[in-house]
Amino acid sequence: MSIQQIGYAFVNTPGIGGIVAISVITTAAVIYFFLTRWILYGNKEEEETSRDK
Amino acid sequence: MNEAWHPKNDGEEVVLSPIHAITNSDLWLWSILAAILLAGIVSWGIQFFVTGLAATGLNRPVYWGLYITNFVFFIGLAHSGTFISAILRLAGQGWRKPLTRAAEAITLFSLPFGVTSILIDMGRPDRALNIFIYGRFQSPLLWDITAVSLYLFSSVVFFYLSLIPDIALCRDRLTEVPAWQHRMYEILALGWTGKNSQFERLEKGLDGMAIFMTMLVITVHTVVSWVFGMTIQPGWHTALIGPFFLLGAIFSGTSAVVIVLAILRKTYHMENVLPISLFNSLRKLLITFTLGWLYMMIAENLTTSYGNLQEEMRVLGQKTGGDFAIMFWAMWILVFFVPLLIFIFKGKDSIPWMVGATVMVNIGMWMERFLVIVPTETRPRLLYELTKGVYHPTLIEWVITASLFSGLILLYAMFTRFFPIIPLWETADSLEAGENEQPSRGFHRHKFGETVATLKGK
Repeated sequence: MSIQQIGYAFVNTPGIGGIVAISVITTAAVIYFFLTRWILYGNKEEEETSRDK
Repeated sequence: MNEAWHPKNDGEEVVLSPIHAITNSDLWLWSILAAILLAGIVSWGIQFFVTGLAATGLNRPVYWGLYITNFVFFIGLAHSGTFISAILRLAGQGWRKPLTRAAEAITLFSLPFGVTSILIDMGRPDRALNIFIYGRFQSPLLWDITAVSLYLFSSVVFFYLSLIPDIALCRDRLTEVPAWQHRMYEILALGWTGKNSQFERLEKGLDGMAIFMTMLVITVHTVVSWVFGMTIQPGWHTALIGPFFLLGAIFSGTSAVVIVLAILRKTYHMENVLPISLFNSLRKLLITFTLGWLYMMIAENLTTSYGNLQEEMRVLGQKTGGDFAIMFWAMWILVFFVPLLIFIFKGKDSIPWMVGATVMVNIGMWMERFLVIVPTETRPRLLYELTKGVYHPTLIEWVITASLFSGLILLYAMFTRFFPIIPLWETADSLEAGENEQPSRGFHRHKFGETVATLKGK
């Protein structure tokens, strides 16, 4: 299967587009979750440094 | 719960004052808006359960009308927040700070109504799920759904993150509010303590998101335009449609910010917090956008008319001298001629003139969306020989349209009564802690100098 055929299959096969759309939203949700957690609590090292002070 | 540390802000009392009590005037306003919203829901119920899309003026070949016009307009309006907050943030424009939240709230509350407009336009809204089940990436509709969903989601997060310190402030300062409201602040504040390191991370996080949001805002409205542009219909199939949509979106969004700021300033007596210099800065931007709009208009219409292709000229003729001529020339007056004159000669230091001009711009931009969509459908390629389309929106469409705008205003008005509409931590005039503002026991003492440097460097 050539790259061209894979590309064609990707944009034309029913369902794949939906999976991509859902994946994009899910990935964003995961990233935003960790971003929020990092803003609030920092990472482990930062917390430990903060505790030492 | 221990009280967090909050940057000192002289405008705190003024900004928090609308949150202390809901007045009778508020209740009246909310009731009226809710009634209009309810009328829209009933109208949609009739459309959905009784008549189907026969309740609308949509027909063959005019498949898209008021609902899609509203969709494009609301998505455009939503660009105000991202433009003010993200793009101006990256450009280092410090004057934007007091108006960021007011602008972002427009984004937040416009987007759901944009998405709703699509669902209303569908005779069978349940079929929206087919996009996810059978979606093919060949379809611009899937690009649209992906981009708009991501934009809505990201806007909520971007808005919420910058709101957290101020929610914590409400949690700590507003002790006299009803228990449920105070509980809401406690939950939404996510245990914010106001540590120096938290502010630093918040700034970093928002900076990073601002870059992403800027890319997203360009993508979203371009993709919305491609729903039209990827067809080979006259008037739509042009590479200019993306940039034109984007410019129009930022233009109408920024105009909406002026209207909202003026109302907030007057209603909540925020003259000191929202100084007239903000309106003057926005005025300069609006002059640029008005001229940009003129450039796009000329570039598009001159290219089309010079080519003199039969199909294109039919659509252009519909706008300039046909069924839509009155609306077309009214749009020119409302979007360009009068606002530009006002911005240049009357707008400086005059909020009423600015509001007048920006209201005109928004009405005109709604017309522009309509004129992009409908004239093409009345004179489509190929089908033109078989049928000449006509479109007259019905009462149900107008009621639903009014209800969407009412819903937007209702959500906005309610928001301003529960959350600070001016970002207090971003506009803090002094970050020095007073004697009574020492971090509570259990919290680490802040390095105020660093916080000042971080916050004031923006």
